[in-house]
Amino acid sequence: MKILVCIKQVADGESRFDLDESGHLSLRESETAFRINRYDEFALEEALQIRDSLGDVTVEVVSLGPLRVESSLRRALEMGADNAYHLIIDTSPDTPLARARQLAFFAAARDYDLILTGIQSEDELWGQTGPSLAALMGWPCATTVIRQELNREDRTVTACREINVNSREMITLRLPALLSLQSGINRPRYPSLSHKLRARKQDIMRIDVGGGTADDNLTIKALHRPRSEKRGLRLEGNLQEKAEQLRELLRERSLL
Amino acid sequence: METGIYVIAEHNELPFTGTLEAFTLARVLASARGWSVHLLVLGSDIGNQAKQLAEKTGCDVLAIEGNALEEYSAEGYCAALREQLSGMEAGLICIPGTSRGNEYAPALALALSSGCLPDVTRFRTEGEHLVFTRTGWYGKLEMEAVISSPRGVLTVSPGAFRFEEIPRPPGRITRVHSDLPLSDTLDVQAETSEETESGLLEAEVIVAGGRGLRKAENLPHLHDLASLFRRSAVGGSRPACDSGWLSYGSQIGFTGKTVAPRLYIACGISGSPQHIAGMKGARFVVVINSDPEAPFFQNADIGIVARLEEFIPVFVEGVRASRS
Repeated sequence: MKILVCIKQVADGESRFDLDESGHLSLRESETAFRINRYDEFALEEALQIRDSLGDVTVEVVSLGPLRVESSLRRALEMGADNAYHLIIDTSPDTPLARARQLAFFAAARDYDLILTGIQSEDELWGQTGPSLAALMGWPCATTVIRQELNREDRTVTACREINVNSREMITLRLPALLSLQSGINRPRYPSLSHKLRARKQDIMRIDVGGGTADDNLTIKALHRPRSEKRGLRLEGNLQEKAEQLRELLRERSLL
Repeated sequence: METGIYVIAEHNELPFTGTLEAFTLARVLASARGWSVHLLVLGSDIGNQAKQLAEKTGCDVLAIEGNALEEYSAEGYCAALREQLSGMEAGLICIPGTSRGNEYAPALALALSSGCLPDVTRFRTEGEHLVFTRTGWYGKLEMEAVISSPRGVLTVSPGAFRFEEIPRPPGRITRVHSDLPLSDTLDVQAETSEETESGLLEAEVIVAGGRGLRKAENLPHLHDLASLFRRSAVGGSRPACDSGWLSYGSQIGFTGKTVAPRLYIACGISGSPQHIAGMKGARFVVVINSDPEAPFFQNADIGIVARLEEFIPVFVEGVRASRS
């Protein structure tokens, strides 16, 4: 059985997200920490747990992006992935469908039984790459999955989906299928030293995907800072001073 | 099929929160464009739902009924909607930005060769174009996007458009049958569970923690802070629950509880749109975060840039000293 996990490398949330004059993001790469999207770590962990419990399962990871994404693929190997594939592209396309097209092109002839993704990327929050990829492959898919059970004999997977705080859905899909996993489905492992040493020797397979594909139907125009909904008061001073100001402000409003 | 806006109701939703928010965006868009609005309801026995929606919105309702639509499935929705909407030459399809809506929207868009934009929060017109806004980049930036295909699929961010009932005669209801079989979806069962008790809904003051807690050892700080207030409770964002620091019963946000306390103190929560959706009704908001760029500060009445484990003990001690 073969499982593919799609991994996105993201800039850490406390990075400086500066904009250039035309409203495009200009990250200072040398000052930015890049890592695996946390939601995708849940997907990788779930794949590794499936391998641990069923045996005879190969877990492969794929990531699309410039050379720096290999640090995240390396991390995936350290966590225990069997193989890692890097779809090399200088600038990742800016829409989920265009990214999904690249992933679909890669996955099409590789006989996966299951593809796992995180529910969304922490940075752009699209949540669409997984279901778009399933649609391009012509596979069934379930998103916001909080539990899953594979049935190898029947070639099915049963997924529990989170609908809202007190409702869930159990859905059984025919394999091959794609699941997009909700956060909290498991606790992603830390790589052990032996896995780290082993991962150093593993190759990351590089595939040049050239200029990329476009999404003709959706155009991202520009980014901007959100307009403030409330004109909040930012407290200044040292900790003691801030604490005193907060105490007074809450007392004035009879909140304390 | 005429050019217009087609709102797809959330499956078996009561009250119709998500559906009516999507309808609200559709109504505003329609008046900007001179288009008509239609509501589509899918299910197996939905006469009553269709009637209620036609009355509430004054909008024409197309009820699509079929055995395969009794429970929601992405496959069932895509097949039925593709069948009904393939004749639509131009316009928009508005879907509630729920777990289900965001699941089937991309596949529906692909089937209709349409652009797909999830979690829309606003729009503006720019000449011929409709420019939509959605939140991205950890909530720190918004992106503007244009759908360039004649037909487009949108999902509507929960809480972004508040429905107000405008008295109108009820819309007409048309019922059609759709009998497409499911091939890859073998079984679907909906489950509801009792809501877990956490005291959050009754609390007047909520102290909430997020990823900025960093470790379980910092949790007592939240309880110390909460103990200063009467009728207070401790809750948290999804990452705090995912990390096991707090139970899912105390999760605040779109997939958790919706709260509206007098005072909300957010500690180490960045302020993702999903979290904000659950606490928008709070009357006074204090945000404590070590990242000065945290988007939650945009929603704060008072903002304090500090590490919570450093600030809270100083504050708690100060309040206690002033009381004794």
